[in-house]
Amino acid sequence: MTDLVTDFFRVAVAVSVPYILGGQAMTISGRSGIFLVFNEGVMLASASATFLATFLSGGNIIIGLLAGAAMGGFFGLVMGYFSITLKQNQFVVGLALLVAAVGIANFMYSVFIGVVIKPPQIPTLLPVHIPLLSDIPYLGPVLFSQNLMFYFAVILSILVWAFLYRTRYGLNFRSVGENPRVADSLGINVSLTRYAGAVAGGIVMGIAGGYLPLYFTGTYTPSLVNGRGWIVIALTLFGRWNPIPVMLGALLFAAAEVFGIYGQILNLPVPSQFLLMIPFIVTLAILVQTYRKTELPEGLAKNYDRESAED
Amino acid sequence: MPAEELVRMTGIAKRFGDVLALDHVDFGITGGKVHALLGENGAGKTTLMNVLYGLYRADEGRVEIKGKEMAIRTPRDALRHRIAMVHQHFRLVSNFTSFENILLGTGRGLKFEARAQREKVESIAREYGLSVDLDAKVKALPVGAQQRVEILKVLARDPLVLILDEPTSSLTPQEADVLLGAIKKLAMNGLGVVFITHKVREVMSIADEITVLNGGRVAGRLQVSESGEKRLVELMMGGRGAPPLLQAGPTPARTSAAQGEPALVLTSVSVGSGKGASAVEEVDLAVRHGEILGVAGVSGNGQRELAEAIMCVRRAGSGSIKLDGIELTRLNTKQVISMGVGYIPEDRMGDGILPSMTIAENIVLGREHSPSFSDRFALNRKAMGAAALRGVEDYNIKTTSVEAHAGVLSGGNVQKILIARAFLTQCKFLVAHNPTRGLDIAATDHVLRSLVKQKEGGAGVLLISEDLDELMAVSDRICVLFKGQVMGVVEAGSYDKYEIGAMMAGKKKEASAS
Repeated sequence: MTDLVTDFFRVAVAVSVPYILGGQAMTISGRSGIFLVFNEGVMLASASATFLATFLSGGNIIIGLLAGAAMGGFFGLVMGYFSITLKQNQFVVGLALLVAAVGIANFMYSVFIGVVIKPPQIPTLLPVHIPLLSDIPYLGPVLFSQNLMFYFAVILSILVWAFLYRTRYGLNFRSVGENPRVADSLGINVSLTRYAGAVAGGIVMGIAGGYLPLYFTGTYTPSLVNGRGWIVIALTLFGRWNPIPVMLGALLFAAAEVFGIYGQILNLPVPSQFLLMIPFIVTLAILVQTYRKTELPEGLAKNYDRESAED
Repeated sequence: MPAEELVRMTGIAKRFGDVLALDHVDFGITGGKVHALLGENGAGKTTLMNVLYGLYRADEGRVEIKGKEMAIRTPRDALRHRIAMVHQHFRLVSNFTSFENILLGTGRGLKFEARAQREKVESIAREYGLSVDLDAKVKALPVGAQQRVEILKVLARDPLVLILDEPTSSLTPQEADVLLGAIKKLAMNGLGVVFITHKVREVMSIADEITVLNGGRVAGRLQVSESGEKRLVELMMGGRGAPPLLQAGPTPARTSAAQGEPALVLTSVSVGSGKGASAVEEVDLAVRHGEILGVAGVSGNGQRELAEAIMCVRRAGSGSIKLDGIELTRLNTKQVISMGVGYIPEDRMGDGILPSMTIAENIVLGREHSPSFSDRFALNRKAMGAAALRGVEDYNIKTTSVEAHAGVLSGGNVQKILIARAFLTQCKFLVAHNPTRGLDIAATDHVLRSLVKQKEGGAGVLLISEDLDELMAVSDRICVLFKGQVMGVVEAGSYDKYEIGAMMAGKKKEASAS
């Protein structure tokens, strides 16, 4: 039984990686005032790019992840152009890009792979055992025998936090997400900051998408993202756009997802469809509980026009 | 110290669409002097300074700094030339602490290397008597403290020129005195200070030089020694109209015979703020027919919640609100309006108008059920149009037609629509929240006179305002709200600005023998 519990948490931690990265992507861009809603599509496009680049480079995962990051960064840039330069509604633009990204994802796969009986496989990420730490009972296998991307995600979360809350750059960056008019009046470049937020967020979201074929399937399928792009939004709300709570929220949502899978393995007397609903039910319950208390960055999803009238 | 000219603006013109907001204005700022920029709302004062600060770009004209022509395209340019501006609406990030706000945009690198900055801010605060809690979040600070943060923020940047846009508008008289003292000291230390205001009295007490703007043009340029209050008002208004009510001073004491029947009676009313704490606590108030009760207080002390509870826009948590003996707390807003209660809400854009509907529709809104505007089924568009036209003429609303969309109007004109709506008929009771905000002198005067007319017609009027001069000019009694509680009520004839100011800062009125 303890094996099963350890195993459950070990898998949950591995599954949390795209949630952690996606949540940090939302946090970075959100703190500059850009609300990313395109995640469900962009993660898929990046998953496709990562898969194809890894496959075509003969199994080089680094090249694959760079391709995924570039894909995400590209969508971040487009998001920035429409919302910052053209001042279009961020939700409308985001949804449009979501749909476009899904199309691009499937299109790229068809162009490079086409219809095949047996889908091509790429190598998946292997666990790396950290010496000494991985020998700690229970904690060792759960936290210190994970693949490198998990460590990357944790370190990134801490870096994002340190940047936002411990540097002057971060203070200026956050002020753009809170109140662009104030930032502007103090000589902070609002457009540049928001572009940086959108592109950085897109890149990290792209890496989150790239993780999916590298961990879950070893290949590309159109249903690879499976709602994670939406759950990422929920967990960022839960984490109040603050990197550390966002990371913890990601673990919580990942546990809910894995619980659904384990329920099936254990043959619980519940239809499997219900078990697969668990992450979404948890999402709903948590959102209802936290939404009212959530402190969003005040300028989130609001475009800024210097010569427009005072609010 | 030789007075050095720091800034010279020549022939500045700025258009917004077809409107010429600044018509070739010249303006200069000298070190060590306070230069008052006086004018009505919409005269172009703020626009002129926004040009200097790089928020707006001038269509024509040149700006020289210390004799050299400079292009100031963004606030960053202005700050580089050591020009700083304190805006009327504070430019503070409410989720940040005071110190974070002060640090904002000043440097790069690690935040924790800010100790030197902190000591500097603390010494400036001591020197000018601008004490604030540097580690409190700005949204938790009262308005006066927020302004001190704002001023510290710009002073920390070592400005040569300091622009203050209507800095006293939300302060108690005591706070305003402290601020004016600090400004004088700043000028003594060699800064060029621009003081934007529409209050003539402040100009007389603080300024060295005065430039009066009217309709985007310079109406006069004088030294304070050669001007007088009356002359300045004339210049501001372009020499038209009678002396306004505001200039006439406080309402004289009433005779007790003038007291009417009680109209609105509030008994231990508490109203929630929607964030847990109650915004109005155990308020007892009575407004009589034929009386204007002024409500003074720094904005955000429960005024809005009080007004909305009376209008049943917001439910009172407890207590009773009675109008002519009828309990209002169980009614809805439509029923309250149909009882003859007029309402001028504070948030004119959010609660006041429907921007995509026409001016006529907006003016009649809320009374469209009354027989004069509709029969059982259809609206009487003709009557609506006629009523709207009357409002447009009475209040000088600048529009091409009453069928134009209300959303295209400027803030001042929207405010006039709300007022035209409230004064469409003789009210039984009127709740007016900051009714003159954003209006010019003539329109302000018209509104205040209309309030008095409503009162003379027998209405009880609850006038909520942040402008003490205005309250003292028309109110028969003034009650002061602080943190949702009534600090005291003062009768006309015994108004003392400083007594009211102390109550606005939370000091309960001492019980007097009467």
